[in-house]
Amino acid sequence: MANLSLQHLDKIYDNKVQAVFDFNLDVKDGEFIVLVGPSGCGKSTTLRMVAGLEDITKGHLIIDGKDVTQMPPKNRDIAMVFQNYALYGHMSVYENMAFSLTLAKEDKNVIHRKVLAAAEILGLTDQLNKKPRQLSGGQRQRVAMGRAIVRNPKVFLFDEPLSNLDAKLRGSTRREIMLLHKRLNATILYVTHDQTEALTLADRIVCMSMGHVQQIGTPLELYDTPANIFVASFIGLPPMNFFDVTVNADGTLSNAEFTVQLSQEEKALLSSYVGKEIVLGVRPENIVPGEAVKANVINVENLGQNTLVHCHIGNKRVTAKFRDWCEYQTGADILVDFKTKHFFDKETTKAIR
Amino acid sequence: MSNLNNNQPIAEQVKTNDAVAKLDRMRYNKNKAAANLALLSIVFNALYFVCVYKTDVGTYFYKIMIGASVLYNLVFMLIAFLSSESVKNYKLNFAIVMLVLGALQIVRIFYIPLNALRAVHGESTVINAGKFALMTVYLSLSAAALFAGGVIGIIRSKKLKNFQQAIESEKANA
Repeated sequence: MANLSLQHLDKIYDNKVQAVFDFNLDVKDGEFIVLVGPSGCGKSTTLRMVAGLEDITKGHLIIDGKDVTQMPPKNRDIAMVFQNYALYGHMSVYENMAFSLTLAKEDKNVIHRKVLAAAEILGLTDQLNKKPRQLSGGQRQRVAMGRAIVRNPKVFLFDEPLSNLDAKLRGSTRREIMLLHKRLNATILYVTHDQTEALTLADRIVCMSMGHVQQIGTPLELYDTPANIFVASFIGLPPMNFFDVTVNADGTLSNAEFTVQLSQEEKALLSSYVGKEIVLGVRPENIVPGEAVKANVINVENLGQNTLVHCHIGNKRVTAKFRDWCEYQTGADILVDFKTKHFFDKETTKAIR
Repeated sequence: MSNLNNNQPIAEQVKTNDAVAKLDRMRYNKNKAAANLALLSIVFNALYFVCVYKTDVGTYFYKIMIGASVLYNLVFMLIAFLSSESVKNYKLNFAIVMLVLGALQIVRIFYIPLNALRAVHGESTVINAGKFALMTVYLSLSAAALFAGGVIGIIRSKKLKNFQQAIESEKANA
């Protein structure tokens, strides 16, 4: 396995469209990095630049201290797993997994042992004689992973590997990838637009938008201390609720619909914003039954352990996540409080810290 | 099985013993050598019948004899192809079929080619010695490919069968 360093990477296509702006990231040996962001944010382009499938317009890619920016993909010792599996339909699972080693003219017994070892790790031993069309989506994705594992590459790249799977299979395959990472201690770069995958799999998450890195940090850092409104709105399900509020000199935040009291720490944090408008962010689970804010229920989604209550606070549509099973009538007025609050500068959209 | 050590699990032997690994590989790899030899025999047979039908044996011999030969060629190619596909999957029966087809290819040398060489048509024989030699070579090569494929097929399918039995008995004992 290897250290990986992406230094000031830019990607500008021939039509002058810039997909990635000044991407910087140092990946430690054995680290699981997830690139997350909405469609078109440049995460797959970044991955393809690492794989060598896209030219790097500017910047350097360093693997284990060696600059591989201009090196062809086959010499980079990187294995990539694609969303659509990219398996050879006319070959058996065994032949698919052995293919890259056969091309490299490895000894047949060595290939055999590597394929059997990878199949055992992935639970594919009984499927080795089958063709890809005889396998489920999850099994096919495991074959694709097996094909990467047998090569024992320095870095594994995963490009939305679970997107073609149904929800149940996605969960189980996600757990398999997690176990695989622990077992192989592999350096992994993983692209997804699914924040659940990002939060559960990553050692660190790189959140991207419009080709720019918005924040790099552990899943907890991104969730608890988002760097800006984009990260706050992207990470977390249901997403964070935002309100435009004014910071008052009496230690309150207010707008036309509500006034909420600030704690001593919050007052200190916002001391330079008194009289100014800021953006207040509240996660759905931090809206709790209380007294300060009046909300009008639109509809209720009972999820068993939790209840999502969609309501209006003034004209603003808000989602609250209450514990346990709750019954509210549509149109009913309820009173809520905001627990943990996040504050963002209205002009820069950056978090106020 | 001489390569197997009864005191060690087969899975472990696959990791350490090349001979056992080679046996285990057969469980996942096709018997391409035998299959390709069967296809090669079809190619030589095709060269033979092209050579036969280019001569005027058809006008000299009874039409029914030539008709039977055409039919046999079609049946031969069908069975040889089926054998090729089956020995690829280590089917013992079809390896034996390949040996029978090989023997029949040798017998065919004494049917049309030898008769045509001996038969006088006008001032010469129906085919000359050179043509006869060429037809004999094609049929012999076709037969040789079938024999070789058949023998390889029998050896490998027996090896694989014994190896699989050893795995099964290990599982049963476990």
